[in-house]
Amino acid sequence: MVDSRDLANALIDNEPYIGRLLIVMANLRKMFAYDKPPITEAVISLHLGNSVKQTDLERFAAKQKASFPRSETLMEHNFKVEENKRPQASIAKRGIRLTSKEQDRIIMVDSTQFAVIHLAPYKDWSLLFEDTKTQWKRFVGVTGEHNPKRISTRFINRIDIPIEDGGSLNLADYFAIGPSLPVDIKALVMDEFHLAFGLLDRSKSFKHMLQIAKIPNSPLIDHVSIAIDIDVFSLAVLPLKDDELWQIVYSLRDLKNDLFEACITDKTRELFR
Amino acid sequence: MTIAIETGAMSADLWKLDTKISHLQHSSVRLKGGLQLPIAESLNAETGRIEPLPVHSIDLQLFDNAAELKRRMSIIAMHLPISLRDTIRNQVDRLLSLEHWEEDSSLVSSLSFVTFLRFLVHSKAVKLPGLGVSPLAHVLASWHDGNTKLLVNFMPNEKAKATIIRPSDRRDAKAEDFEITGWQGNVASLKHFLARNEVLHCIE
Repeated sequence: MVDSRDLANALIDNEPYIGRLLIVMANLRKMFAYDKPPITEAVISLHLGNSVKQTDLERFAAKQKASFPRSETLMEHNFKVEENKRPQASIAKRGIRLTSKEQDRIIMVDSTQFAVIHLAPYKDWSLLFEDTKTQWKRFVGVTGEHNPKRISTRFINRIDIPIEDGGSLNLADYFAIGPSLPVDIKALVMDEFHLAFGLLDRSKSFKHMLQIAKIPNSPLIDHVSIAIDIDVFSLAVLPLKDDELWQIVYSLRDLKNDLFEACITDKTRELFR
Repeated sequence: MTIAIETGAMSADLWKLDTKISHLQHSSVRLKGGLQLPIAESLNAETGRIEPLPVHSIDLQLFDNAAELKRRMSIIAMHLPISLRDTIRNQVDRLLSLEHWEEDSSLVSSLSFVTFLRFLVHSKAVKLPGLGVSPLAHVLASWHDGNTKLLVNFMPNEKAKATIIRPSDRRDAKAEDFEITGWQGNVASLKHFLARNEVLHCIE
């Protein structure tokens, strides 16, 4: 199957109007949210410039109790064993994890980052974005922390591809990226794979960490599930003004969308409609 | 948990540490209905003593069980119709609410719940089942269509038992005569059983 983007790019030289029209159509289609988005976890993180006291985190958790009734303290356990000495153990509180009643939203804060997480069924970027802004404002109000040194967004997608019992899957039908084996290996079939890429944009302002892997056991019967995990984070020094900061956070959306859309084919998109 | 070992030598005290760590596997009395009487213990690293964990109240256990089921549902939520998703969520809240909790009620096995969810997606069920819980914490789902009833016991690890109850089609059958058909097997085959017995209309 020919991907609409490939077709558009191929047409650009000879049929510039039709080619550009196809690109506009492809972009317009991207603007419409999928009926069944494959996102299992969507995260916006602000990496903290200063470490925050555990007592401040607990005060923040107490203020969020109505919306996030479940509060867990993140603990770090260490055991130290040395020759001719008694083993030493230590446990330290290292953050909090707050979960909404419906289990669809999580706020996780440790000494290095503040993260708002939306779980499947994923609704909308704007909801995640506004939620993060609101929770960050409350967090700053309690802790005084207001100077993130880095921002990032991470989206974990799971593509569930139907497959007949005993059937095989041609990854190239669904993905524009993937592993390849030497052609001489004919007696073996690929059962698992895990690829990771670090990608730098040309302005060197953002880095993308892209991972694609087969999930060992699909949660669905007669399906193969492939995870596409995209983590985009800022490398440049962040502005101090809130408006400018959130503008950069917002721009991460397009970066991760473009990368995701470039990794899949129209056949995959059909699975989300 | 991280274990930092700075030397390659094994100290005699390591055995004691290992013993204490194995104590961390909570001991508890499981009551009827899956509720736990929490006599769990944990290692206090500062004092090195084994101490009881805080007691978890019934409402917290119910909240945690409902939370775990919702978390499991979120994994495949994109494949379920919104109405079905909302109904299941409401039924989970009802089954695991303190208000509706009775002496013989049971918590719900999350593995049994996963089997139930996998069937829903695989069979493309759109009709809403009534949900209950067996004494063994398995999800019990019932669908009705006209005079036909379909009852399914969803067990952990992909297993299910189904019963179809419908009016008998024997020539000499009386109006109150019913025919009962049973099945047990892997949940991936349940849809074939329903199709073979022409009762897919109960779920579709």
